Amino acid sequence: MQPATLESLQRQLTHLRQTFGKMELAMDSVTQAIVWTNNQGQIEWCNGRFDALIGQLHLYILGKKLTEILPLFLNGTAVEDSKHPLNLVVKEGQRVNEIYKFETKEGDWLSLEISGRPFTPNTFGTSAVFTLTDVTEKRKMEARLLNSQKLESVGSLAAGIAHELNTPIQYVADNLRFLAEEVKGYHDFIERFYQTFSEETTCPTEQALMEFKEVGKSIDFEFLREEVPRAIEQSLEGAAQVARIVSSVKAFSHPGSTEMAFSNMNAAVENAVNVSRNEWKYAANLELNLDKSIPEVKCNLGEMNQVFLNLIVNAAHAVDDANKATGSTEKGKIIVSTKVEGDEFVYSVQDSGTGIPENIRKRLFDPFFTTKPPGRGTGQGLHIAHEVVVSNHSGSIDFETELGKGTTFIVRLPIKGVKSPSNN
Amino acid sequence: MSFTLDDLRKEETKPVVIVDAQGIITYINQAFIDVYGWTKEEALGQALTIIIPDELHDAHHMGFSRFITTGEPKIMHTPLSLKARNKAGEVFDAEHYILGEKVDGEWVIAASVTPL
Repeated sequence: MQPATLESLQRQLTHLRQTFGKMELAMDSVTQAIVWTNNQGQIEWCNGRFDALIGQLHLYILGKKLTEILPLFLNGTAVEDSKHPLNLVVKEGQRVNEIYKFETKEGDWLSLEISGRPFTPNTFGTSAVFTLTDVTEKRKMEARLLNSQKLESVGSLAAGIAHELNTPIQYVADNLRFLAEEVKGYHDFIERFYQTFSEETTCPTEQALMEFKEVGKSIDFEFLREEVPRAIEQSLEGAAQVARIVSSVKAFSHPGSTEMAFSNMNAAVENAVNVSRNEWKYAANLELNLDKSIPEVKCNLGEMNQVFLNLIVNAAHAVDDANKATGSTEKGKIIVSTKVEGDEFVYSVQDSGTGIPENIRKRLFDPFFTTKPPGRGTGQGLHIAHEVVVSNHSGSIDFETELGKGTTFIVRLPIKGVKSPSNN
Repeated sequence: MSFTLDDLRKEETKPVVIVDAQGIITYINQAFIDVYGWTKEEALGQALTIIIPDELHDAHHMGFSRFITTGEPKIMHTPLSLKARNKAGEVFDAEHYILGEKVDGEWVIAASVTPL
């Protein structure tokens, strides 16, 4: 084989220079920030977007440690060096894809989706390439969408919740009316008692005693002895039922913290079941299988409330559709379960509904995709559930379905709020 | 103040290095020999990367190539404090003044690289 001539090597070099030049131009034109490091984590190259993000000309960033130039925050706390995406890639050889918070020089907080991968170009060890996408606006949009869907669901649940409140209030009112009526009898009796045995009367007349007895006879004491305590007990139960519903609505609408915090998932699931009762109770019997041993799970409870609710309401609609399609007068079934598997919290909603046709399964989590008639859903429920679980909580949402038999949606969340390395 | 290729060719006190469009060293002055330690025989024909620390090679290749391809300077005609490396492998800060001019249709890049 002939050795390469100097002329051909020069041609190659010129060509490579042009290729590099075009690459740098192209990479400077993209909206994502791109940076790569050597095996020591020192920045070897970055594009103009990265310069803008950091607020320094790249000439002064080159050679510096990425961990120093790009301090990150996750769930409100500073990411320590060993957990910085740089070290996860360079030292652990992992691929990363996570949303972090970053404070700019101007003091603005950005949400950066950082995707990194290792590569080993030579024997000097593993280097890393990162792309950083500013998803601040996207996250704000999602938060607005989530809020509008929350308002939408609260609006559409309002009639059902009012109905749920009406039933206990009605029997509280009935009982109070009954008590008011009967108290009148007691009042007459007591009044007659005082008239008959007043302090001035040393000995009541025969006539006064007869009249006192007549008033006593007009009151059915046997009946009252049983019914008054029962009416009071029922009224107290009704009031407690109202308090439970109001408490669920309150907990659902105002979950307290809007940040990631360790939360009681079973209580949240019960609240979602309570506020949606009117949606499912005519179509299905709902079975709650809550694993009482579940630890508190790190999540944004307001967002997760929406996920719990959306899946229950969807199940109720699917069962209702199946009942209507088969003309069945019997109720269908919804099983809402929670459990722990490894280091994950698992929430599932199983329904005996229509099942999901094959041709729409892939589009199920798309925004605005719905098969429901107007007024019953805007196609945001599953999309938002997917965004909340997958993007905001590093979890997963899947479903198993069979036409005519039903569907089970399964949500998995890392209990500690972050994926363990084995799940990456 | 803006310098020209001729100015740098005549420079005697500041170390000067000149490369062709491939980034191959075609000229160094005596000050460069004194400060950086390479003789003319050793330096001429070498890639400019001999005076650039390893971790800056990628950025150098990309930026140099971009300039050769587009002719649009990003960091020229302004003093910049950047790292440089001498023959002994020592890395230090040096004031870089870089310029590019076309000679007979080919780019020639010249720089004064004065240790700070």
